[in-house]
Amino acid sequence: MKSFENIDAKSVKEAVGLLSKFHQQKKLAAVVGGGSEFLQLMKDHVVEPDYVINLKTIPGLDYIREERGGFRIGALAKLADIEEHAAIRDKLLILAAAAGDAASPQIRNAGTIAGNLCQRPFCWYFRSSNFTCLRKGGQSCFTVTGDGRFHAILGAGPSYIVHPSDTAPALVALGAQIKIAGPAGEKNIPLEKFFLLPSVDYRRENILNPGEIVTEIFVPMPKAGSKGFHHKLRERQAWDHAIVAVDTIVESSGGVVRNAHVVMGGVAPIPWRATKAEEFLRGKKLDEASAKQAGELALEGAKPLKDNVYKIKLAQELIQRGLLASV
Amino acid sequence: MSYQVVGKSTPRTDNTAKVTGEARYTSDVLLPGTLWAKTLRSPHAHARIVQIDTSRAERAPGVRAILTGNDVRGILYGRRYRDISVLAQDKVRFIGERVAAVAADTLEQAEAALDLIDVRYEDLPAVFDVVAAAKDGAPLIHPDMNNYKGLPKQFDQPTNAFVQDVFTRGDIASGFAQADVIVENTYTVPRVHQGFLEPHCCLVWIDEQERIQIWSPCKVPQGLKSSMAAAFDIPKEKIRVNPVTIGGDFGGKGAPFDEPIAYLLALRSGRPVKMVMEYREEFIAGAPRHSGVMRLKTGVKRDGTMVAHEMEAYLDAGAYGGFRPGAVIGGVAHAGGCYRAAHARISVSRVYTNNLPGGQFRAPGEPQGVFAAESHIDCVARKVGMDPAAFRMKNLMVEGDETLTGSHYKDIKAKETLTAVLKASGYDAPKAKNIGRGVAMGYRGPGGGNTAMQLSLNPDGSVVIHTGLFEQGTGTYTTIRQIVAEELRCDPETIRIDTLDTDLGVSYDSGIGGSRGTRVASSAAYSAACDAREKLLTMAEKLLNWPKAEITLDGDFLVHQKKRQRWDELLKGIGRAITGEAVTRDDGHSPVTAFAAQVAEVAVDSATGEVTLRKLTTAHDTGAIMNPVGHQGQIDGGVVQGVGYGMIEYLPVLDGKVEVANFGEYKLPNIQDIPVLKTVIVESASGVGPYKVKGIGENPISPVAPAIANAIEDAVGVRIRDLPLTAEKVYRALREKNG
Ligand SMILES: Cc1cc2nc3c(=O)[nH]c(=O)nc-3n(C[C@H](O)[C@H](O)[C@H](O)COP(=O)(O)OP(=O)(O)OC[C@H]3O[C@@H](n4cnc5c(N)ncnc54)[C@H](O)[C@@H]3O)c2cc1C
Repeated sequence: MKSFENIDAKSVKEAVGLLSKFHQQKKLAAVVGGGSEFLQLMKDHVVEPDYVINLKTIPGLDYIREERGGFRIGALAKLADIEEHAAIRDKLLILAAAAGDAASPQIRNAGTIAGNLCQRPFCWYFRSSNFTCLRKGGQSCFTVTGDGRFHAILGAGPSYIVHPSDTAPALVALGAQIKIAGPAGEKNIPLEKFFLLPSVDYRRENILNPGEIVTEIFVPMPKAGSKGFHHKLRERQAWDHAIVAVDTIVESSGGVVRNAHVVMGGVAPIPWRATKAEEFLRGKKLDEASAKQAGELALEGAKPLKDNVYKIKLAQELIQRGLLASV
Repeated sequence: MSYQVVGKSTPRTDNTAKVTGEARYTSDVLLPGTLWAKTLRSPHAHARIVQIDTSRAERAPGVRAILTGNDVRGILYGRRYRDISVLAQDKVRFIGERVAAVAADTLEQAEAALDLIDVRYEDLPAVFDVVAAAKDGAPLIHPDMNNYKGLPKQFDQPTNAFVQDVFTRGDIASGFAQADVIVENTYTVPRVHQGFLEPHCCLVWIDEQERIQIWSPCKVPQGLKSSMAAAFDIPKEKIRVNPVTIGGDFGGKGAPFDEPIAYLLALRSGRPVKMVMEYREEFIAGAPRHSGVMRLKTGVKRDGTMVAHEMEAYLDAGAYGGFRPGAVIGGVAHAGGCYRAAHARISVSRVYTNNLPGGQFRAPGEPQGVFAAESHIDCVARKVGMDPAAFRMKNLMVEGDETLTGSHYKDIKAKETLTAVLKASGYDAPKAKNIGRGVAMGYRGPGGGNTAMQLSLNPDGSVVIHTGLFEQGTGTYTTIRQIVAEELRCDPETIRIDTLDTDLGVSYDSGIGGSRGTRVASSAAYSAACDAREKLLTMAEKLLNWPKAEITLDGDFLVHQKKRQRWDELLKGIGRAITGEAVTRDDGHSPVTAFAAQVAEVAVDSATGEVTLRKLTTAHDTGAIMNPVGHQGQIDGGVVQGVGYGMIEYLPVLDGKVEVANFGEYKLPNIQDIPVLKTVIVESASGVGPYKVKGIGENPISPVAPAIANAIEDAVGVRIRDLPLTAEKVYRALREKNG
């Protein structure tokens, strides 16, 4: 690993200031929460920053607060704390399960929610210093000619990564908001708008500009009559990314859907919302046939690579199961 | 025979040091003035090196020595077959091959200097497919192969298929002519890495007497010494390999890796040189289990009698063959299976390609061969409409048979082992939809080897075993200590083990490997203990006037009738220790083998292809079990590695380029992937050595993958012939079947 300087930030303001300063000086700087993901990239010589700004030393940024309208989760809240939080388990339907499906217990004990949402792709070409891929400044995405069995089938090109976060699809399904602090102050945006498609920018996965950091996630309380479903399919049963993950929140009464959110992980460079399926479901009675049709609609327009055709059927199947389990 | 210590579960000698962090590994050894070295690796799979310019790197801060291929002309190394260039000479043969090496004051300086080395390459045609590489006209990777030392057999024309082994029995053509049904299939297996925690590493220092001092986690220290001496044409006495704790081996720590480079850098710089591979380097240039392609063809009579069995295997050796002991990988021949057939032809080729070199991993060759054979046997059984277990029962070897590759064993327990596993696993019990059970078998005799051991009873009352065997992590030392405790009637915890460096250990020690540890070590420990006891009793007879035949030992005491005498006091009196000595030369073919039979039970999700391994039952034909907890540890560990090989692990390589760089992407199974494991022991009195033992280390791993593949077919009717058995492959096969 290349040596670097560690700076323990004491406040969000200081962290933002340092990031802006180093950016102006054309130095490479990055923030870390738990460091569980970023350190791996450094060890593998994929990123070699001059400065690492440690956010964990900012006091009080790891809160989980229940309010009337929802939950406020500080950027430094750990995945393990979310997974084990009694009220979150009870009221946020799928978030605790999604957090608990991420990585391994050790990583969840160190990894923060902001770090989880901002983690870099786990594409093997991106992760290996033996490949200079498009996302790292190279000429091409190796997935196109290479081995793309774990890669995107929706919304991809010119880069074919899938977004690696397990909490992101769950949070998008729950309609979460994200708070960003930067040199110009703070802003709140829907989490769904946080992620970037490669067609917009294939060098980064989210809208964060230099100098900006995530400070909070707000998750609104699901409407009464809502049911959630989370399922992650993977090659090994712990410490593995999703081949396909499905997160749904269905608000219904008497078997008829009032509102449905259907979001997929592991299939696209961002948490992929199946808007067509959601529209189709509104007002429908949920049964085998409508669930099946929703699954098919969700995958409409999928463009698999040569090695990942199987993801389409897997996602359809999971959506169908999820919807049927939601009434 | 009843024993006090042998046969009882005994905690391992190395437990405490390992869990407290006190065990000293190679990385913990640092000498004053040590330099760190790193190597520049080739980005090309097959290319001519047109030019290397190190001038900028030479001027970089902290750099003390640089080497390129020009400094090592003509020097080739390997375990016994010597084909590995210390640094690439004129051409590179795989992506990741070492092209230049830098030693600097710090690791960071060495890494930084690598970026300043300019190499110009000119691409050569490369070949990555093992079958294509074996054909005439493929790009020749080692045109000089006929001149390499240790090549088993020279060829008229140089070829990539540098080992071509054929075993025949009867007349295969007439065998197939007699068959009513012939089944032919091709099976493929990927490379898998050993996954030890400690990557390859070493420290080399040329001391003030010009001796080459090596610290390296090598389980065959005398072999390392011989390989180094042969490569550099230096007398063996100049080299000393010092003992360290080995941080995981699984078969992969027997070959010299960076030691030759560290030696040359030490020579050049006059300083100790340390090298530690990063794990990303392990993945691209370690020496994983060989990948391979195996075609099997079997002819049977309508009643299920096997009459002809043929296998043609190609193992991908990658760019170099010297990372395993011999050039030949015998284990693949196990694709013959444990069955009788009058006519057989088993051919195994080891073939150069421009992929990373293949090496040695637990039961070398067998997981590959057994996956093919035991999957295939199921296909054959189904083709003739027989239950796969019944088909096996009908065709298994029995007493008096020899294996298809011509080995003889006595006390064949194949059928007993199969019967035991069928019963314990509930193979015949009713099962729900999409649940399947599959059976698979294998066999392996304990390997032979040589070693010597001394045992000293000291005037201070201590009992010390001196051995040149390094504990590779499987509990060999624990067993040695149990035996000495048994024979001297003392508490094993009080016995110390003194690991000898290669100056003090005997030069013909064959090290650990081939499930030989218990066979070789137990007989040496037994003889050394008996020798020491005999000498002690002779002395006691003389000094105490007790008739030798009536003296017994009890811990620190010699006992005769009601009288007790501390033996350390006698030794203090005469002022010297008593040393028992033993030399074991037991490197012949084992007269017995050990069968393993396993049943996997799976549940398959017929929509997604997901396979859940619900239960794995393994039955083992064993000799006496010296340390039950250690024995069970080997079984569980082997099965877990088998599950990894069967369901999850593979090293993806695309046009010679390894795609994974860390354990995030190179997936080993973890506890969530492991089902209920059940073991059945079929113990017998046959075995080798004073305690009648058989090996266990390598026996449990091979049948696991085919047992799972067979269970999948049993559950949902699809056959996967390519490892690992992923949900995706099952899903695709189901789609194909159901349209
Ligand atoms: C082997 C492995 C397997 C994994 N498997 C999974 C998995 O299956 N599912 C899953 O969801 N995750 C997985 N992860 C990711 C894991 O969840 C993350 O490592 C963890 O959540 C990251 O948290 P952290 O605080 O340690 O992040 P860090 O490592 O500190 O940071 C990660 C990234 O986020 C940025 N960052 C951190 N905090 C902020 C902030 N406040 N504002 C802006 N940017 C920030 C950093 O700059 C960095 O780029 C895996 C990780 C590893 C190493």
